[in-house]
Amino acid sequence: MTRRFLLIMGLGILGVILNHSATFGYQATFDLAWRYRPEVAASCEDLTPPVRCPNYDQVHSATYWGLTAVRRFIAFGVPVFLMVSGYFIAFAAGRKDARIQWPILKVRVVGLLIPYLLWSVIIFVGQALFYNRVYPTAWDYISRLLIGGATGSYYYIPLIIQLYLLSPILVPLAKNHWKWLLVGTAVLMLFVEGLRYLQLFGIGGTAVNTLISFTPLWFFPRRLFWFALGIVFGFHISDFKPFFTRHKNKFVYGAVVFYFLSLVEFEVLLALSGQPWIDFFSTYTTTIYAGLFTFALLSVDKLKLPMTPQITDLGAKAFGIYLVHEQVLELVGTLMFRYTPWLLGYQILYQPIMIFFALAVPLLLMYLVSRSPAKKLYKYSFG
Amino acid sequence: MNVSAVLKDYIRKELMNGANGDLDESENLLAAGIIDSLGILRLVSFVEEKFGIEVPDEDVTIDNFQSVKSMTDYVAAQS
Repeated sequence: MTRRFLLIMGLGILGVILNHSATFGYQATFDLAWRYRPEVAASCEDLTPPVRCPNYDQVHSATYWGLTAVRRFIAFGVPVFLMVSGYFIAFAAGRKDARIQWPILKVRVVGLLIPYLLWSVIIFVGQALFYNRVYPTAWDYISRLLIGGATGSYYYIPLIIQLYLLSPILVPLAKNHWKWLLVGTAVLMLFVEGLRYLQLFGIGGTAVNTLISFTPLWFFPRRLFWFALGIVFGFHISDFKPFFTRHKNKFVYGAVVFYFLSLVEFEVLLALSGQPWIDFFSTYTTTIYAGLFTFALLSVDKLKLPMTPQITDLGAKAFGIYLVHEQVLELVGTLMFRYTPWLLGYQILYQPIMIFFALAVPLLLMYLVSRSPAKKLYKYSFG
Repeated sequence: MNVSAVLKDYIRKELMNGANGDLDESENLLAAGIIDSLGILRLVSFVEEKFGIEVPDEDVTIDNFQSVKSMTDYVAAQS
């Protein structure tokens, strides 16, 4: 199972790239339709940048279904990363003593912080130079650094650091009271995600909105369950292996069923909301699907995926790819927006281009640094 | 096959990215920041492939993988 985690990490980082590429795809399909559809541009009130002229008549088009099917499928990405990190904490704590030492945590946190700060600064500089995006005060930058606000996906780094810092509390619970830990963190996750349902339908008013503002993605309550699950797996792997073997068919069929249910649930929510579009969030069916899919991958012994060595290799480079890929997506998306806007209307071409560069550029950067005199800085650049 | 030398070579090349610094047999790889969550997965994978042994999940412990020496001892015990 330990080796399987590396393959799952590879699938996870591919999933993250597909997810973010699909997000750019939605933006191209809805918010930027005016750029390649003259009839939409004609209906816009003002085409002076920055143009705000969303158009949702492609909701439920073939493009929409393609992007949505992919985005729901890869919902397991971040949960897998958190589980593997939790599994590592169980390893580092030692299965007998169940005590995590602060020096080890400190090394891990510093190992995450340095590349994170480096790339955040690069992103801030790039935003200022290429997009004229400058924040007025130093505090604006500091506050963004604290919450992973340099770019959308960076919320993960403050999140994982919080989880590492919480691990001295989580480790003994995972060792001695693992069922309570899983139930407690699952209830917390379902409660926090449940707030999004209430907000969608205008239930709860200010209280719900306040609670939602206190539970952003970078704050640990929303994703604590997956990290705790990883620690529990690490400590009780012998107990879980027969469980996985016994229920593997249920996990596989359950994942398929809940995948389709997650598609249906979102359509129901969209229809009931009465809005032309709603932001994706981790619905209950999506969360269950993510768990079942991961369990299915862990439980199928003879899993043979095409390109397993290559995917496993991506798993080993996951953190470096994670740090760089979103900026590449933004750059390539901007270039296509400016110079080949017609491509935005052909997601079947747009998506492969985005995905290729989001994968190839980080890998190329990592390769070049590792084979240059700057290789000593590799660890500080890509983790 | 010199297990210790093979492990050191792999750790230097793959986990320390070619750094030339000394790697002591007994150095705690976790405390030194050489192995992280991905690093341990890669090490287990390498040990299985290179030495032709299967590392059961139960054996992926800090006692067996925290230093080159502990890994060498583990591989010797399995061979």
